[in-house]
Amino acid sequence: MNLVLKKQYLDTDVLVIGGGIAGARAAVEAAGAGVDVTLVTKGIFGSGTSVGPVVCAAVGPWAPKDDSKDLHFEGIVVTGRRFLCDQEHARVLVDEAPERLMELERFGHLWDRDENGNIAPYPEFAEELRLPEESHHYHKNRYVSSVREGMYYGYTGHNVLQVLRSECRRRGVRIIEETAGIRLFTDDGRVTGALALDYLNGRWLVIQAPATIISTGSISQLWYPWGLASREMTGDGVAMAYRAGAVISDLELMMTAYLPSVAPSWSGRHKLLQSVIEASPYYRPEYRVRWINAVGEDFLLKYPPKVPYTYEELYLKVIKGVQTELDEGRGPLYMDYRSLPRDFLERVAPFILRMMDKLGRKEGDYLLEVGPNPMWSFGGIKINTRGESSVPGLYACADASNAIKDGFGASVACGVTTCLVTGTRAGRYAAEYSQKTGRSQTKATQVSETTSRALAWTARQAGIPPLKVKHEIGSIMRTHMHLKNESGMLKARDKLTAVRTDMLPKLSVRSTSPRYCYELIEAFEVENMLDTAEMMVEASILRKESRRHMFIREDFPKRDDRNWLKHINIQRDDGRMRLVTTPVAFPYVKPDESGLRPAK
Amino acid sequence: MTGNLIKVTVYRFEAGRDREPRYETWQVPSGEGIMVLDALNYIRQNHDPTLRFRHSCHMGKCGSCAVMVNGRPGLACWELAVDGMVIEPLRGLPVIADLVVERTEVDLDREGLAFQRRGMPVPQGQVERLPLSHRKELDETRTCINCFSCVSACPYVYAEEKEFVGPKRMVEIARHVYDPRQDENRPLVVAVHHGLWDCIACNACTSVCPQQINARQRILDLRSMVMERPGLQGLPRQIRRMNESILTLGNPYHYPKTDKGKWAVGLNLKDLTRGEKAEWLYFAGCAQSFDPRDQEVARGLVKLFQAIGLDFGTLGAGEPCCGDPARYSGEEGLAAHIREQNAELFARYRIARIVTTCPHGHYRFNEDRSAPGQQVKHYTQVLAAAIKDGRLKLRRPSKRTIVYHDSCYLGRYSGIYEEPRTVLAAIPGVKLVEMKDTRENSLCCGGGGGGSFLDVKARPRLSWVRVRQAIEAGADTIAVACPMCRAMLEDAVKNLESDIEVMHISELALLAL
Repeated sequence: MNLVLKKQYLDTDVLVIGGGIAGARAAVEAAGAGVDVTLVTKGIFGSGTSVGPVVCAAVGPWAPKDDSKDLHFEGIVVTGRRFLCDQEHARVLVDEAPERLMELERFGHLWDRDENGNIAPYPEFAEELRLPEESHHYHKNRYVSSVREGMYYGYTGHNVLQVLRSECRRRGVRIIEETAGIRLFTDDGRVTGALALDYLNGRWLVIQAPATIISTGSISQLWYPWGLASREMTGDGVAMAYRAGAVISDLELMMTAYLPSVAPSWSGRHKLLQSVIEASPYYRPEYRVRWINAVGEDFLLKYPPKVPYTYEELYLKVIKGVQTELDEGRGPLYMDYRSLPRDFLERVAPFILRMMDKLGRKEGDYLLEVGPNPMWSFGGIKINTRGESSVPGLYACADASNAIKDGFGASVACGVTTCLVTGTRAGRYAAEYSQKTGRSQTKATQVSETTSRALAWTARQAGIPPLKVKHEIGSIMRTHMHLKNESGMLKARDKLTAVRTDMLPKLSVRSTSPRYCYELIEAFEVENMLDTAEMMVEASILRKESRRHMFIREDFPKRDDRNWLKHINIQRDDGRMRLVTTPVAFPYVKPDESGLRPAK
Repeated sequence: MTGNLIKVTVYRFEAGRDREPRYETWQVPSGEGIMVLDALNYIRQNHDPTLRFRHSCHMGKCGSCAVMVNGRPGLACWELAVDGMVIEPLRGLPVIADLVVERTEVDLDREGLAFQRRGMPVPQGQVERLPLSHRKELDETRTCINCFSCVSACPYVYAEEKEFVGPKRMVEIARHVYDPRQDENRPLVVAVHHGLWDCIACNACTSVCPQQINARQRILDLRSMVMERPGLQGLPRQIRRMNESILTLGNPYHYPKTDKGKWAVGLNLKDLTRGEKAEWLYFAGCAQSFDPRDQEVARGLVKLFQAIGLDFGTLGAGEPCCGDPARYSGEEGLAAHIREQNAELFARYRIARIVTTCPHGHYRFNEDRSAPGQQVKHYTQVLAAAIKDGRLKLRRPSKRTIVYHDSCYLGRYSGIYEEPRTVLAAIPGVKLVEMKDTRENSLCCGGGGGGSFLDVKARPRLSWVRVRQAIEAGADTIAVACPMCRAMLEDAVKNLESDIEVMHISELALLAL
């Protein structure tokens, strides 16, 4: 049935697309500069991936005396990223993170205190998996939280987002919920606003703004439904920016975890975020947690090497083990907590215990399914430290960009801090830019191109529902882009092309009402997922190495600094996807021979 | 994921387009850990992509996905899917489409409920030392994920006109009150202006909160704080007088002390204050002791106790107040005083087992148990046990259609749902029916939390809504186990000019003896 949606026009100075911590902080900053700010968010303001984080890393007054910003910097750049990282982003992050965290209390936030009233760091996160190749590194207890629960759980992200939400309201930010950014407008090489779909009310919003900030988070739902992040994370921002001509960088570097979850494979997983009982048997062996398959085998023992020396070896072992067991029908896989007593779980992971009680599992029988959870890409829209993308008028921050993301071990807990640091900067410079630049008239064709495509989907009676295509893309990524090798990735490329040529033209939206028409959103998500997945696959085929936990491929299992200490940049050029590598810059630290330490 | 198939029924409706809702039933595969959200996603994926519902984080932290599951609010991502389940939009909020509801709230920012630090701001680059008292309560209120489950469970959803702002906002107010950086008077005033004493302490909010926030207790704590600040002038006159009466007269109803126990005149019951000994103390309670209608009930219960051979005595005119009204109205000081006094009293007369008429007394004595091994039972438990072991035989048949109105204090507070029903079911010939909101979802009569002392601002009155539910269930009799319920519902029946009768379970049992 033809769904003709009304159009509403809106003029603003700074448009923020994405209402997580980064977008909210950007809006707060821009509004503080005195400009008119509009924030659109795909879900309810207060939902999304931002509710998940537990701790924030920053060398503030709470950090130990022997900690330093230089140490934090090294932890991120050297240990966490093996030098494959934009060092300017890391510098700005470690320098500004403490103040960004502290000033939240001025907005009403509260960091956890100890009995003496001082901010109490969260010690568990300072412990890390120390493989032999990193035995020289250590990092400090510089982590703060807000309402922690047991070990490794808490409400930090949720509380920060709530406080920023209040601050947005206080500063008069125009907040439009359940509205997704669909397409950026361009004029003469600049981004001049965006078309958004308010699916709650079933109307188009044509938003004209001299400055647009993309804070839409990352791309984990490409692996639908394995993605750890919330359902909104289909790479919308990255795809929109790409189509507007922006450079996308480092997208192939992914953060993937293996977390306990409970759900069937055909639905959104229930991710018990942050379990202290990490699966690797090399991590805290005293907890005696193994991974077992459906027939009870400690299956990781079957996959060499017996004792990984490097991260690349460890991750390949785990990825290969999990993928093979699942492919060969010995799934589901479980985290085996059966040797853990109830009171241990009560103290350490009450959230997991609640799930056990819910499932009716008793002490001695604690098992939780485990599977791959792609979390986010370390890359995204390429920005400088002012949040500027390669296209004037287009800003980006946090997970949608190539800023520093939450990592593993020494580079853990950067999620919220990056949102705050880069969100603030994007907001500040976007506001400045909007004051210098006038508003443009949006070309009507740029609106109708998109709205008429949507109309065609609703008009098509028999066709393929977008959710089916979403699952197909997810299936391709899960099959070929978890355990990566050349032939698998080429298959992924071909299959994605087939989706584009065979399925996309048949998209059909069955809803007969524009009210809360999430099907329409899903149709656009599918387009975004295709573009982003294609970028992901091409960059992955190109990178012929493995690197720590960020990029693992079977056929090139070792780190290759000589050839691959490079960024892979993707840009649309004359309608085609172009990949260009650039060498990594070392403005602050350079790698030594081994690539594991800074050169003297 | 294979496994058995389960039936799932989902509410469908679109405001402005459909005249009335319809229910659709689908088959969905199930297995360990399958949640409501999985079922809904399955339906969208395999049957009907037009089904509309909210979800986001999938881990119980964002509050987007709350729905009614078999008449009870909960997070779709966290409630297990069960065969035959019915999924509906949150009760009490306007439906937009299918399971998507409008989440609008009263704007309290304009009344000053936004963070406002007392004193000078903290200099840049510094953090302040904040010794946190009330740390546990403060942290609890900060875990609210804005899911609206408590709002939906609160009986005030049935009131179109009301002053009570709801449990969620009260928890938010408590968060500001406990924040050591803010002036607590400002949010307390907001609470007072928004029906702080209209909460009837039915515990529905606490029982559904996915974060296990004790919203009811946070509200009662706010009451205590307002009481401690007479300058706020927030205390309703009737509550002050009620507590004065408890302190000076030993009952909240302004009856002279000496009137307590008069209901038992001529019954020759054992008086435990005069050195007589018995296995049980029958604690009649203030609500049973004065009003003639209630006194009848006490006398009837005595007959039942005698019929089953219970060895019991009373405290006569020396029976104190259990102190629960002081507790739930926020008079912590008085409640603590009464608790101490009663502990001494029970110790003096070596009272080991107590049976009460009133669920409030039952709850209060259970909570305040002073001696190890002390047993406190409600009369329905004693009667049910007697039915089970044959001491109580109900022989006279009745043609009544009875609906049991679950007492909040017996039910949600103490988990007692079956024993009252056991007694009723033992009456030959009766037909037992259930109301729409039953057991854990029972709708409060409006008499708790001070509701029977105040004229709370709720129109229609909650007691009227409940009586209408009883009539809809097809009953001619509402069975109650609590004197407050009896009074509130009987009053509503009179106002609604209905023929339905309100009777204590004990009265019905006595008739069947």
